[in-house]
Amino acid sequence: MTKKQGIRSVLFILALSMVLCLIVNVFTIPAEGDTLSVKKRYNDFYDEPENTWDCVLVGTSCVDREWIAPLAWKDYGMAVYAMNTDVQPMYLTTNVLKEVRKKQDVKLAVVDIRGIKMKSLRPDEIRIRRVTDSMKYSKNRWETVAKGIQFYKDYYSHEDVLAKLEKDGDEVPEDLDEMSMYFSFLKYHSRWESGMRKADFVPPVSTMKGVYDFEEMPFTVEEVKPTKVVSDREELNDMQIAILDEILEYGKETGLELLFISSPSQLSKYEQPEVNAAFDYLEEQGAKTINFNTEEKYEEIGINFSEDLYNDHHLNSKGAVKFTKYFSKYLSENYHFEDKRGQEAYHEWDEAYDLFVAFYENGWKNLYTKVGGSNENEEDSEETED
Amino acid sequence: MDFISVSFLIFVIILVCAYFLMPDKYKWAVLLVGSYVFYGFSGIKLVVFLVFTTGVTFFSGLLLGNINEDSARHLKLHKADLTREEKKEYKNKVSSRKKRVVACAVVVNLGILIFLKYFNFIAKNINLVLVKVGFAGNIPLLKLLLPLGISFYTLQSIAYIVDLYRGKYKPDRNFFKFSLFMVYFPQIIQGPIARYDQLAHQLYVPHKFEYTRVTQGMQLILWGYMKKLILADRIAIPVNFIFDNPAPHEGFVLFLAAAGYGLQVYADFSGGMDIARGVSQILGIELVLNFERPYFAGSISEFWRRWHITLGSWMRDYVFYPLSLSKAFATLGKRTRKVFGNYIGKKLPTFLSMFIVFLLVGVWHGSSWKYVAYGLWNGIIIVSSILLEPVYEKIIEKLKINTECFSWRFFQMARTFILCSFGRFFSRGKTCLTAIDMFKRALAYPNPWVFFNGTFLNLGLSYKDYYVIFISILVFLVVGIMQEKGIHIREKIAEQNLYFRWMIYIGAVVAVLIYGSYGSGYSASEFIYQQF
Amino acid sequence: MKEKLLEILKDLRAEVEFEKETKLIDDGILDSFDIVTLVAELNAEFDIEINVMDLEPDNFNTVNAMLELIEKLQEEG
Repeated sequence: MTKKQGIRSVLFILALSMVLCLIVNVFTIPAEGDTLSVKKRYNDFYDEPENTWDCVLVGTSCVDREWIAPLAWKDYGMAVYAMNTDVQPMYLTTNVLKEVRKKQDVKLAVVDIRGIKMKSLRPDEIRIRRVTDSMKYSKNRWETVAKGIQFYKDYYSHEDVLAKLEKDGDEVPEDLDEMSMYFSFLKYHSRWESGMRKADFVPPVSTMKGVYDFEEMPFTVEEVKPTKVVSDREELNDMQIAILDEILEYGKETGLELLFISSPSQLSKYEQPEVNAAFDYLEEQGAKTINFNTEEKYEEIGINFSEDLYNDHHLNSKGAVKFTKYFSKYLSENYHFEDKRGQEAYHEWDEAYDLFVAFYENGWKNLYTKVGGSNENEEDSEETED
Repeated sequence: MDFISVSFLIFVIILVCAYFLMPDKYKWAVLLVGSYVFYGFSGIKLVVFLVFTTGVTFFSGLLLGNINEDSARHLKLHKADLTREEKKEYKNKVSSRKKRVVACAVVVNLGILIFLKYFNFIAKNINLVLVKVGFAGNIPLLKLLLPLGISFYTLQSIAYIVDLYRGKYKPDRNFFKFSLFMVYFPQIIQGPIARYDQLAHQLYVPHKFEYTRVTQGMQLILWGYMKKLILADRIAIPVNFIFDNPAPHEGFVLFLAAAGYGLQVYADFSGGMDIARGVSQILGIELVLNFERPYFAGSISEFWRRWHITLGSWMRDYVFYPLSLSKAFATLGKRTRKVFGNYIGKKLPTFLSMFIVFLLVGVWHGSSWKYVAYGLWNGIIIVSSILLEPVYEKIIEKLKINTECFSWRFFQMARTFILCSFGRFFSRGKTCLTAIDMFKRALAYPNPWVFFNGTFLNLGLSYKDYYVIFISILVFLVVGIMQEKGIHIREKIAEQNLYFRWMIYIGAVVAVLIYGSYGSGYSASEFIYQQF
Repeated sequence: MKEKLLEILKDLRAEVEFEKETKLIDDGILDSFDIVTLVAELNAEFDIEINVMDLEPDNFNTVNAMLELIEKLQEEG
C-alpha cells in the first residue's frame, strides 16, 4: 500500500466515523411523550456550566412536575435541578447520581423513594432506557446498562415476583435484547419508518432549568380524592433492602448528603405500606427523611387535592409552586446553600425565572383545562403508577 | 457463525490481519486454523464428520493418483511390446480397480450424507407403506444432527475423487493442505462448490496485501450485506407471515408470497455468496460465481445456468454427462429410437438423465416430498420445453412474432419469472400438500382488488417498507442490467471522482445500518405517552 | 468428415453459424443437452467412444476442435 493510499484510507475511515456518529445521535430514543421532558433536562444538564448546582433531585416522575427550580432560585439563590425520569428505576439511582456528579459537585441529593414499590421496580425496558438512552456514551452508561440487565434477570427470578405472576396467570416476559441496550442505535435505527421529527436532529433543551412544560399538563386540574393516609407497613423484601442499602452506601462512601422524601400527591392504600416500611428502614439506618404524604405535610404545604393536581399522581404547576416554596424554604434553613443571586455565572437562572413567570401566567390564562374527577365511590385502584 | 453477526465481522478482521502479518510460508496454515475455528463455532462435535470425510477423500485420492501414475508408467514402459488388445485389457483392469476405489469412497461419504440427512424421511415413508400393507411401522426415528455444510463438502469431495479417476490432475499429497481445501471457511456454509483445480492452488499460494484488491473485496462484502439486510430480511416478513398460515390468503397474495420468496432467497443466497467472495478477494483468493443475474434468464434451462451455478455444473459433470454418455443409456437410446422414432427416441435417454438430475437437485435441498415435487416441477418444464420446441416455433411463425426485439426478451423473462415463482411454492411451502394447495388456490382465485384495498399492509410491513423494497429491487435491476452489458461495477465506481465514490460507499454503509431489517425493532406504540 | 459433422450440427441447431463461432461452449451457444445429443450422434456416425473426460470446452468450442477430437479417438481405437 502506498503512502497516498494509506492516507486516503485513514481519511475515509474518519469521514465514515463522523457520518456514523451523526446518525447514531439522530436515531436515538424518540423525544416525545414523557421522554421529551427527560431529553430536555438531560441535554440541558450536559450543557450546564460545571459545578454550579447545589443539589440534585432524583426519583420518579413526580419530582420534575413538583419542582420549579427558577422559583427556588429567585427566592433563595439556590441551584437545585431535577434529574428524575418517569418511573425511574431506583436500582439505577446511584448511576444517575454518578453521572450528575461528573459535572456538578452537588452537596445534597434528594431521593424520592416512591419508586421502591415492587410495581415501580418492575424493570420494563422503556423505564431503563429513559435513563440509559439519555446518557452520553461513557463507562458509567455501560455500567448502568449492565446493572439494568442484571436487575431484570434478578427481578424475574425472584420468588415473590414469580408467585405474583403465577397468581395473575401471567408469563415471565422475554429477555432483554442486551446488544440493543448497550448500543441503542440497534433498536432505533428503524425509526425512519414511524417518522423522524425536528427534535431528533436538533436536540431539545430545557429553557427553564427543568420545569415541566409538556403540553397543558402543568395547567390541568383534576379533582382527585385526597390520600387516605394509612399507617400499615408491608415488609420490604431483600431486593428492595439491597437497593436502599446501595444508595446509603454510596452517599457514605462518596461524601454525598442524602435526603429521602416521598413526593406529595395521591398515594393509594396499596402503595403506602411499602413506602412507609422504606421510611422505617431508612430512619433505622440514620438517614434523613421527609414523608410529604401525611395530613400534616399536606396542610403545611397547602396541597388542595381539588386544585393542585393534574392527575392522581402528579401536581400541576399551581401545586408545584406551593411545594417549591415549602421545600426550598426547608432546604435553605437546613442546608445553607450559598445565595448566588447576582453572580454573573448564574444569569441563565434569572432568565429562566422570567421565562417561567411568563409561562405560568400565559398557561393559566390560555391553556387551563379541567378534567373529570375520579368517581367518589371508586375503590383505590391498584393499577396507578408513578 | 452467521454471516450477519458481529462475531463474524470480528473473526474476519482478526483472520485477515493474521494472514497478512504471517510470513508467506505459513499463510495457508492461518486459513486452515481459522477455518476450523470457524467450523468449531457451529458445534465442535460435528467436526468429526468433516475430518472423517476429508480423510477418506484424501487417502482414496492418493490411491487413485498412484494407480494413475503406475499404469501410465507401465504403459509407457511396455509401449512397444504390448498389443492393442493387451493394452485395452490392461486399461480395463486398471479402470475396474479405480472404479472400486471410487465406489468405496463415494459410498462412504455419500452414505454419511444420506444417512444423516434422509434417514428419518426414508424411515417415515417406509413406516407409512408398512402400515398400509398391514404391518407395524416401527422403524424408529433418530435424533440426527447435520454437520455444517455437509451437503456442500460431500459434493466437493465426490468431484475430487471422480476427477482423479478421470486423471484430470495429480492428487494432493499434503493432508493438512487438502484439509484446507475441504474446510475453507467462506464457502463451507453454503458454497460455491469448488473444484480442486480451480481453488486449491490459490489457497496454498501466499497472497500479499494489495490495496485495490482488498478495497474491492470490502465493497463486495458491503454489497452482500445490503442484499441480505435491506432486501432479503425485509421481504422475509410478509413471506413468512403468509407461508406460516396460508389458509386465509388466495390468488395474487399467494403468488406474490411465492415470488417474494424467490426474491428473498436470491437476495439472501447471492448476498451470502458476495460476502464469501468478498472475504476471499481480500485474501487474494477467487471463488467462482454462483449466480449470474438469474432473473434475466429467458427460460428455466437458462435460469439453472445462472442460479446456483456450481450445483448445476456439478450435476452436469458428475451426474448428467456420465449418465447420458454411459453404455446403459446408449443401449437404452437405441431401443427408444426403435420404439418412438428418430425425433423423440434420440432424446428420451437424455430426458431421463435430465429428470434424474432435477430430482437430485430437488432432493438435495432437503428431505421432504415437497423437494421431490420441486425437482419434478423444474424437470417437467425443461423437458417439455425441449419436446415442444417445434410446436413453439410454429406458433411464433404463425403469429408473426418478432424474436429479435426487446419486448420478446421481456416476455421470456416474465414467463420465466412466473414459472420460477410457482416452483417456489414447493421449496418454501410447509409440506408438499400445503404447497400443492397454495399452488391451486393461487391460480383458481385471481383477486386483483388486493392491490387496492390495503391487504398488503396487513402482512407485517408498512408502506414505507414497501418503498424500501421497491427501491432496492430497482437498484439491483439497474446494477444487473449494467452487469449484463459487461460493466464491472466496482471498477466503474473506482473510476469516478473521490467525493462521488466516498458518497456511494458511506451511503451504502448508512443504508445498511438504517434500512437493514435487524434488531429488536422499535414500535411507536411502546413509546406512546403513558399518563401516569 | 467435416461435411458430415456440419450436417449433424445443423440438424441440432439450425440457426447457429458453426464455422464462424469460436466459443460454442464458453458462450453457452451449445448447452449440456446439445452436447449430449451431439456426442450420441458423433459416436454413432464416426464409430468412436467419446467419454466424459473428453467433454472439455477446448474440444468443442470450434468445429475444428471437434474434428481433431474425432480424429484422435478414431486413431486410438
